[in-house]
Amino acid sequence: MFPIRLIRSRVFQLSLLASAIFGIAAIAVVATLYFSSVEAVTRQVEATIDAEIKGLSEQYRQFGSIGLIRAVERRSRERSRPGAIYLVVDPGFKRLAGNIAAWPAEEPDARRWVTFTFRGGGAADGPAGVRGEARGRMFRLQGGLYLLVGHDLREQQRVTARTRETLILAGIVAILFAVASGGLLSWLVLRRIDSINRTSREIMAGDLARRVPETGRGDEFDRLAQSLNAMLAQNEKLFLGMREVSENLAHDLRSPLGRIRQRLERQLSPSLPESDRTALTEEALAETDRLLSTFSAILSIAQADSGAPRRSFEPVDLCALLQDVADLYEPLAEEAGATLARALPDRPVTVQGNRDMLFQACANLLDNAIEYGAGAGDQAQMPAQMAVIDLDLDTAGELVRFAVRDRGPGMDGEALERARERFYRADSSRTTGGSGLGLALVDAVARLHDGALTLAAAGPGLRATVQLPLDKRAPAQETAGGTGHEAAGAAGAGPG
Amino acid sequence: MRAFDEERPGSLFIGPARPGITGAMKILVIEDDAETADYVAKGLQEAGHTATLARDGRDGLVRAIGEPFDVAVVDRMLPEVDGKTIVETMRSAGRTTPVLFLSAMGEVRHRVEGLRSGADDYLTKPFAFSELLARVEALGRRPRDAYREETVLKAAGLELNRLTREVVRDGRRIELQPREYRLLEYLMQHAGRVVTRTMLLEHVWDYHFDPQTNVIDVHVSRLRQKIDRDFERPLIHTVRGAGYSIRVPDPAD
Repeated sequence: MFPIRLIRSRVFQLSLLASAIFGIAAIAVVATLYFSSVEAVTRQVEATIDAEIKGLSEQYRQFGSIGLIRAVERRSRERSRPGAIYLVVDPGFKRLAGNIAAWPAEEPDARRWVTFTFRGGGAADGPAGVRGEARGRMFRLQGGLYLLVGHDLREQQRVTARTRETLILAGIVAILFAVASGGLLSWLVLRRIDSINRTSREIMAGDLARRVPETGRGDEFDRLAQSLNAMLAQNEKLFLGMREVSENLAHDLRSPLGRIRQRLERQLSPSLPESDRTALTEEALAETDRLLSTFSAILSIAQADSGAPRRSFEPVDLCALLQDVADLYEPLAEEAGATLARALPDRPVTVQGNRDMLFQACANLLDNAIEYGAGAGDQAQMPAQMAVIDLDLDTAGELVRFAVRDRGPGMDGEALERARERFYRADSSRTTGGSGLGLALVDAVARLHDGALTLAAAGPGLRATVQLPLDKRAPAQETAGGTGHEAAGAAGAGPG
Repeated sequence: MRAFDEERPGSLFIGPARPGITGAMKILVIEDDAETADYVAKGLQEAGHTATLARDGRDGLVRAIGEPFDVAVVDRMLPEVDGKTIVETMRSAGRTTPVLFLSAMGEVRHRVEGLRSGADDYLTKPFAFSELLARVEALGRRPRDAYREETVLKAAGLELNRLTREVVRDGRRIELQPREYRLLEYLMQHAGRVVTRTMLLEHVWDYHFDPQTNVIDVHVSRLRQKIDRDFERPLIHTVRGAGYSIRVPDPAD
């Protein structure tokens, strides 16, 4: 245990504070009890004394001074009155009878009460030879005699002293317990926090796979550890993804940049015919455009991942949107030897989203389906037929699913697992010219809309399904479109 | 202010056969990046337009308010006064000069924001000059309301009736699918100008996205089949590296 760290520990401070508050309350209760019991004892002593005085004054009234002195002598001898103190002195304060040695020097109060120290002596059975404190009452009698009736307080003092000592001891023990429990508590907490600190230092030092240990007790520290670990796992995934993306990006950019460089370099050659020069320029431009489109795909993914477009979400009729995508891609599919089979409902199906990004996602799926799925039909099992690409949409509960299915070679195993990663290409030997970002972008757009992209083998071909939550706020009769960007209002959509 | 039917040298960027019916425009370019500014200005001049450069937002705003321009090309991020403020100020001062925003910020919401501030079109950097030129020319051609008033669009023997949605070429009726009709309509609205594939996607399909394939080309070639196949002279032309254009056959073709 490190004392300074312990004292600085918040848990320790808090447990000390709690002990202090509890201690003060306990002391207040105990002190009240103590003082009221002391007072009760005092009152009892005074009552006893008053009873003695009553008896003695009876003797005095009946038998005068002599009777009183006798009574005092008698009572001084009696063992049945432990602690009782009597003294009768003459006007010169010389002892006439009683069980203490001398008239006390202390002055009585207005009610003739006095607390005094006494020394035992006089009567044989009195508390001879002892000293102590007593409480008593003084009277002046006729004929100049003085009477003191009192009670030895030593017994009471012993009791109260013992009580006091017990209370002080209990206090010390309580303080020790408070410190110890504070220390133990902080040690237990610090131990857990230290393990989190240790883990985070290890992670900062580069060991991304480290996780905060969990005890399995399911307490709040375990819950903290769980959410920290979930966050760390997410971060690690993102970080590794980022690293892979930048490595892939560097790799993917090198070859096209190299080609552009070659073309530019060759244009420097003075013997190059003008037509070749133009062709080289055009090739370099086309290559540059492909690079730029790769970049814009990466940026779109990053943008979707950032969640920022959520702020501009609006109701989008997915059904109308899919019709639009299908209209746009149908001719392309036909050129490629495929037919597009749509199974879309007639009613609007509304989601909250960004229509351009949803359109892009669906366009990417169709692009892929046409690229991989079309043309497969004429070589494979259906030579006479065209390859079919299915586009369908259905709703289930609060979810909407749309799927694009091709009948191409499909994917399996690792490819299915990894196809949504950036720059992943199902078949690296195939020169498809794709950026390897299409499905990654679909995935990012789906996640942006609180949905998911799933890929599944579909007999022959691949089925890509995007699942999105339906817009609960949308009225059922919501109609399509009309929310586009009225760029250059001149053009617009034309009448109808 | 505009000299229509002016002869003009062909642009380096657009290809050899620039149509002769287009007019030279006075274009204000507000751009602080010297290289981009010179590139844009030079390109516009080569295309036959007059380009005035403003290097910062304040200068640009003063010129945009004080001088008549056919089109303003405004960078979003500028020193002194930013592009959005320029457009907003222009609009509140009653200047209707069409504005094309240039921006390195390609995010959807930036685009929407830019267009809401009063800009007429938005182009993300880096851009192909052909795209910029096509958009600038589409913006500056004539008052925008003129399109809406015209019920019949004509180009050579081709007529498109926007009320009956009938398309006729040399007296012969041509049946078009709805999307083909809109494609042709857009091309004819910009007859004599180049429209890029992105412009077609944005205005005919009303989506802003990056197609990974030449999806537009198939549509245009289908349209071309219907419009040009049975006729001697083609009207729909592919402008290499830029897009498409409907224009009256050039005797040189």
